[in-house]
Amino acid sequence: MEYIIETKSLSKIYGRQKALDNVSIHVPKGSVYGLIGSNGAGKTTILKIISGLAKQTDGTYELFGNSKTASSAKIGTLIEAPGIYPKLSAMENMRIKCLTMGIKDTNVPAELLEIVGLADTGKKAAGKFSLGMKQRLGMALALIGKPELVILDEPINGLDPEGIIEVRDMISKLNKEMNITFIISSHILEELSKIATNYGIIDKGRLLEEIDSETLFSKCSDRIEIGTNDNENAVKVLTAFGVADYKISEEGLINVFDQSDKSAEINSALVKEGIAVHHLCVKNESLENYYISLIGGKAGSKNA
Amino acid sequence: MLNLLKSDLYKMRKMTSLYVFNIITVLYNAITILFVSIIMSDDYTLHFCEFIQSGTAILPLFAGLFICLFSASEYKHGFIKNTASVVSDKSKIVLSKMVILIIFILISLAVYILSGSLFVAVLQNVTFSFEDITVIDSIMHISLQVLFLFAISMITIALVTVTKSSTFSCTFTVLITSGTVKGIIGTIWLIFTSTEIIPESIDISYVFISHYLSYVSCFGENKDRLIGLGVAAAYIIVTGVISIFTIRKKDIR
Repeated sequence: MEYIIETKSLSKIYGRQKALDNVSIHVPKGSVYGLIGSNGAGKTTILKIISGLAKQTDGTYELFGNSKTASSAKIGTLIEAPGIYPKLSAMENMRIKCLTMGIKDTNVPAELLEIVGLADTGKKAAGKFSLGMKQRLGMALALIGKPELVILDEPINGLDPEGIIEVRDMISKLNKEMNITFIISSHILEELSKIATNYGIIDKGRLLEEIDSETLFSKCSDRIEIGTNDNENAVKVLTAFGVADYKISEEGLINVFDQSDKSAEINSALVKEGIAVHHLCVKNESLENYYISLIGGKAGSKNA
Repeated sequence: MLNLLKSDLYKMRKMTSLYVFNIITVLYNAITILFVSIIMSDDYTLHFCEFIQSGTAILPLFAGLFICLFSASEYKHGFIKNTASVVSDKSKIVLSKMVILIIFILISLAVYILSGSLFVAVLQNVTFSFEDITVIDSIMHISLQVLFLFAISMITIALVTVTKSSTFSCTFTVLITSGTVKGIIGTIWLIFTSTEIIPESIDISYVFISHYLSYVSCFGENKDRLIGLGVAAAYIIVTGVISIFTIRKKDIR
């Protein structure tokens, strides 16, 4: 798999505080990578290091498969604030960024403003925009120069539900149509789960887990988790029972996603066919609970 | 670097303070020349070099405040974070600001000279004198003024780069251009020299970029000019190095 960002044991110390501790993330090309963590977890620190705004204390990172800093023209960023001049219009802000990046095509600002839905703002000062509009303008600025990678730091922070949907849909659209890789930091897992394809869960500067969306959802969906000594025949029994949606996990457990309310009947069916069931559990974990258990679980083991 | 400069020039054109400061400069000239015209009943001759020199009352302040507001706004609005991430060498950000500063100084000096000349031409009893000066003298005089304005405003660039605070940097700019800082340090120096801890022969006046140094460099002997040039160059180099080091080595928070 081709990774557009790869960090290796990245660490960052501010004074006495360790903001990052041995973080190794892998962002696949073409993905929407969600960097999840609570406030102060280290999300922004990682993004600042990758963007070249901060230097790591230890470790390395590669961008586009290159250990040196990649051509900055391939990256667009929106770190903490949209970086707009409040007294200037959206078009003027776009022109400034185009000049900074040496973009000579004068149609680029209008095209990008059209994409983000700000084409009709005219001469209105950007300082008078709503928060959602400012964030969209920030994204338009990040898209100047046709970057292959866009780094967004908490892009949905402070937005109303409508604004969140707008930003979310835009990211999804740009990822699918223009094949832009996104790395997005957020502490709102529920919102990120609607667009992210991969996740990095970070807490207190440490990477707890890297996981793709499919695996994450399979861990969180309503399901019956069955452990048997004969999965092959168990699957035949389940299929005869009417189970259509199931998956065998890496640990060898059968996860049944449909008919999750018939655990007793499924257990009886397996036992009747002579299949010993050593583990049966009904799980219905929300994403938040999964995240909390991950943080709590790691904290507990760390303290132990 | 050229791209950054184009972007900064575009921003400069859009800054209200560029126009406000120059309008105040014109008004300043109007009031002072009119005042001279009124109180002098007979014809009054103002030496051209002294007229240039009197601009040190406001030009250093405006140059310092302008570049402070220009640079600080980049940090305040988060523009610097999204710019620094796409610029391969961050020192170019500082170098571009230095060029913008020189352009502002040239514009404001031109406005000062032209508006002064206009008001003098309008008022019949005030004239400029070019006695004992040649064109080369005038060019050297103006160049020295530009250099001193640049040197004192570079302190502001360094302050903004290090502190990221427009309030602190603007306040300090006002203090150094008004001579307050020089006055305080001068007083302390006087105490030390009067108690003979430091010999009186050491003249601290030359250490500060101030009206005094500017005057001495323009009207003094060659030795004074060289001292003035050296002090100004030292300020520019030190503040430039501090600014570039800070932006390259320190994290942009």
